Amino acid sequence: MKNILYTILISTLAIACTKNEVRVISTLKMPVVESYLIAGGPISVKLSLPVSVNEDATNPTYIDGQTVVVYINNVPTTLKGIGNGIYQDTTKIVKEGNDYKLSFTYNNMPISAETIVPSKPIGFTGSVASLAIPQFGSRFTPGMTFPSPVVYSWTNNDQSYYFIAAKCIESSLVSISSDTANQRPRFSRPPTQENTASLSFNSFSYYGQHHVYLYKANIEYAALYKSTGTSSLNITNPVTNIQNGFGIFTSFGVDSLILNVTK
Amino acid sequence: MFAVICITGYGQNKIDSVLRKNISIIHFGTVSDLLIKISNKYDLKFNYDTVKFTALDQQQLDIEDLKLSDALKKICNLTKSKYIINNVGTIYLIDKFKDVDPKLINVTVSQQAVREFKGAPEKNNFTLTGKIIDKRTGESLPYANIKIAVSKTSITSNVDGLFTITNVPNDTVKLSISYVGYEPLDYFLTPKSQVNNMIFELEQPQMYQSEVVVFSKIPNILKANDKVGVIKLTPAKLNVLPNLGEKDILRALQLMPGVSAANENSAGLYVRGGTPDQSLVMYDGFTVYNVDHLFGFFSAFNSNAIKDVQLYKGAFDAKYGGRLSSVAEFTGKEGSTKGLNFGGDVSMMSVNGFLETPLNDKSTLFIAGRRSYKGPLYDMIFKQFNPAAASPAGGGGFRRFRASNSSQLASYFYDLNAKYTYRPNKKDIISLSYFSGSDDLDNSTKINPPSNFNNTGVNLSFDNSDVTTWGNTGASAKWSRRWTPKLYSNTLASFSNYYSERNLSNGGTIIRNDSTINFKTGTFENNELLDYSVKSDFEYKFNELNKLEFGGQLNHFDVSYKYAQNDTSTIIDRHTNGNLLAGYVQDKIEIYGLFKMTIGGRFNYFEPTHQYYTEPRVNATFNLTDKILLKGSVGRNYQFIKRVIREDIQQGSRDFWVLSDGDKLPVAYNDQVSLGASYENKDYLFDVEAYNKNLFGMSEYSLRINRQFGGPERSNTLTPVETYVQGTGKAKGVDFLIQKKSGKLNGWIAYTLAQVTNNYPAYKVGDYYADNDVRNEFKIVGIYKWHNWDFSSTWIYASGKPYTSIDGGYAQNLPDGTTRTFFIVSDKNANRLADYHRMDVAATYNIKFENHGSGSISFSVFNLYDRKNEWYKIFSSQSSYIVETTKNYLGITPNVTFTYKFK
Repeated sequence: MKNILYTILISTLAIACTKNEVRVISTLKMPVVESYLIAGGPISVKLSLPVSVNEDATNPTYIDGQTVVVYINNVPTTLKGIGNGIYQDTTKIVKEGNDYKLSFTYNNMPISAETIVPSKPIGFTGSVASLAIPQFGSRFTPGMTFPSPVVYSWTNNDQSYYFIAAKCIESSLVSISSDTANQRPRFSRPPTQENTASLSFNSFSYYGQHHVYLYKANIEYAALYKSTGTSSLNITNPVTNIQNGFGIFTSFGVDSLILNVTK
Repeated sequence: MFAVICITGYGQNKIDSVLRKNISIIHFGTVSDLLIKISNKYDLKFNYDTVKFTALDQQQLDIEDLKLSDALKKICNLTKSKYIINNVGTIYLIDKFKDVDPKLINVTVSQQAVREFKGAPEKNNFTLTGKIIDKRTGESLPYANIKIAVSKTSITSNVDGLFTITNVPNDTVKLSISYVGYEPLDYFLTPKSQVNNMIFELEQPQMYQSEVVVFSKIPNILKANDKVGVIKLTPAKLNVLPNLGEKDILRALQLMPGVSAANENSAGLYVRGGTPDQSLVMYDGFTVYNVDHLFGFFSAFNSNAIKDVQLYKGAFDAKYGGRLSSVAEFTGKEGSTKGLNFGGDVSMMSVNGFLETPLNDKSTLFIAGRRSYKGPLYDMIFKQFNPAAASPAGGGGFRRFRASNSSQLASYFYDLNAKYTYRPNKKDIISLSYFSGSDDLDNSTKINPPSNFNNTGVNLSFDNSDVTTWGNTGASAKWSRRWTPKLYSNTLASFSNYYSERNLSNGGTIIRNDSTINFKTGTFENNELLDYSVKSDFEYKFNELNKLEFGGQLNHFDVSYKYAQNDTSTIIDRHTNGNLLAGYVQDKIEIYGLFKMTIGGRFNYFEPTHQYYTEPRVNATFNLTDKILLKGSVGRNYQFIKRVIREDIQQGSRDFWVLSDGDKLPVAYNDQVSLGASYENKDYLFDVEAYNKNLFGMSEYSLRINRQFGGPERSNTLTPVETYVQGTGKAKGVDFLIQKKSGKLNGWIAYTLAQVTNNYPAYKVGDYYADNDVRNEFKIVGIYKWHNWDFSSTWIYASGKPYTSIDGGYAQNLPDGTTRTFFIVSDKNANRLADYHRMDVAATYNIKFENHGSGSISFSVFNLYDRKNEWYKIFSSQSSYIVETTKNYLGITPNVTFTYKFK
């Protein structure tokens, strides 16, 4: 009896006295990388730190003063820090097919990422070059007719990721609707593995010339659009291609068309 | 009306001596209370008209140094009564002018009472066989207890209520027969007693008391001290406990020590650090794989259809296998052998009806059905899981105009139990049992374009499908035979099917002048499990010291899981099947009623891994004194089929089953040991058990894309892939139980101190607290009987559970100028929700209808003080801030239930 009670007592004490073995390891010291390399553009990388939920700050802390190296097809080039966490090399133009490797050390941890610039999209065409949209108020007026969506298509034989983006390039913006909520001169669609995409009339906010871009993206960009959970039951860290960090280091191949939005 | 005859009191000689004792009592209050005092002090059993005796509010009644018999006469003078003592020692106080019913004085054998035989025994060391049944319906009572007073030998009836006692010392001994929820019975053998196929009838006390009351012992809802780690529950008494719309067996089990109650969203059993999938739930011999109705707020078991429930919290017998944590065995009702009976319940959640009848003198039929309806309570729970159902989201990506949503909520659950039992002779029983239950949750919405949209030249319809269905269907055919008084067998063929389908998709049609576009995108999941089983169990009783049990079982599992992202692309199509062959043998040894040990093992061959698995099992009890029991167990358990928890809370059925493959999904096993002690007298039980479990080969599942890109794992697709991670676990704890078994106020206090840790290297280096880790859990259950009322209250306290939170976040600017916010999560389960506590109360009024059965009205309030218990956290970003909001469990929820029984 004594032994039994002793065992129970010891078990009880063992549980009661067990120290908290779970150690919280903060990931808030890991850098966040933001870099989109577009064929024809410069090399630019932005570094910052995550914002802690315990901080009363809404803006990130930028990471300056680092030695950030990008290997272009294994040839190193050191980027120049220009402040606000931005590191650039404007002399090296991004080229499709090139392999770019990011490398730097932060908090004694090697940070790295790699991207290969996709080729320029092939066969990018639009169903129309001009789209006539009647001007309207905050609601439709009976009797109004609206145009069919503009359908863009391209060649995609290997289920690569593409996305459409559009930008009004007029210096003076004229709204299509008097409802100004959510109006924006730039917009894009999420990445798709299809070979067509359509932009309906209500995607556009302004009249005038628009650049419509077709980006060929890498998987790490498509991953940005995947949910990583929103509750304590399913939340996980975001998807990233940064080793020992967060964020994205990616590249695009791009082509563009002009679309004229008229009344 | 004499509703209850209880036969546990004194023999005639003994009561005479008690009545000669001098007593002194100074009493204020009613005569009824005075009789209760005397009853408790001298262990006497009174039977009287409670209404009349309670109404007699005596200011002061002093009994000073009077013989008890004279004190009774004084009470009789006061109440204009006379007292009569029958042959089993019950004292009746009846109207002095009324004739005495001779049945009260000489309780006959048919009423299961005989007096102690005074002569010499004629037979020694003989074998006695019998059966224990319910007096009202003739239902056999499984796992009832039979004790021989002289030798202290104790045996248990089998699943068919049959028992065999070898080497009965002589034919004048007393048998004490008990079954949870029933009045216990003391039976004195005589030389004229038949010793083969004796029928013992036990009776449930009636809830109503229109005329008389017997208050010596009110049968309890639970019995917790017969075997190591075993709890026995009576469904018949559940209606006195508070409930959330339905009296619920599994919810009642969650009030026991070692079974966690802080899971409003799961009817499953979290036993001693285990998870519901680690509990083997058997209904009439077949496995039920999902026990949840309506997101787990209710269990799939209709308590009207269940006769007996046994929960093994660990150290289960070798005849059970395939689960790590516990075994819950449900035995369905067979149906009345004593005429037609029917009844039902209507609550704010569902309607529930049953019918039982003998078909002829050899067969019976039982049918029960239950279906929910969309009352306010159902809606409240449904919306708790589906906030969108309460306020449908508008728009769906259409700017500049408002679309209107029409929700198509059409959700319900139902279950059906049926059992046919045929007894061709006294040796054989054949029964067919069927169970089916399903949930159909439809939260789909149809989005209609605004009226003026028709002028745009586009005809559009858009559907948001959000449909989840899941359920179980099972059936068994059982043949039991008592070959000889010593040999009994039970052969069963069964199948069980669990299915779960999920359709979360958007679809629609766009018709423009010259073209029609149909589209459908989303996720489609389908999980189907089939379990075919054949098994035989044998019991051979060598003698009173030794019973051998052995048997075999063959299961064929067929498990499929499909995951599709749209109507044309199936991402995962997993289909596995395999056989599990198991045999077991165990010996139950009893030495002079003092020491009992069950030693044995289970031996498995699992075809998918081509491996053998051996599970040694030992449990033992030792009666240190009449009241003190020591107990211990040690064993190993294997689990071959696993449930995987999904991560999305709004998925309705949030799990699916997969078969171990020995590779990605290893066969799980644990080693467990428990030690305990108990002290029990006629009024109280004090019980403590400590346990320690080490779990290996655990699996978790994540349907995610690769989180890191680049390097050797570089991938060019975001298609979800199956990702299984493996780990280990540890659970240890101590369960305490204090039960008050007698008196008008009874109930129990349960406390568990426990710790559960997991170790999955994929999540974290080192141990972390498991999702179901609850450090302290305290439960108090009180039931008070007052006239025709049953009052009850439960209070539950549980330490907060761990959860994974977020440490911070960052914003990423996208090429189109927009910004997306990302969260950085904390260490796995590094945070704690607030402590859980809740009080529920209920009041049940029992009614006897004149010649038309009986019933009750039960008023119940769940979460009486409207505690905002935390369920999980929701994270969002608003205006550059990360916002954490808390999703709570149900607040205060009242319910009314009407119950009716013809008999």
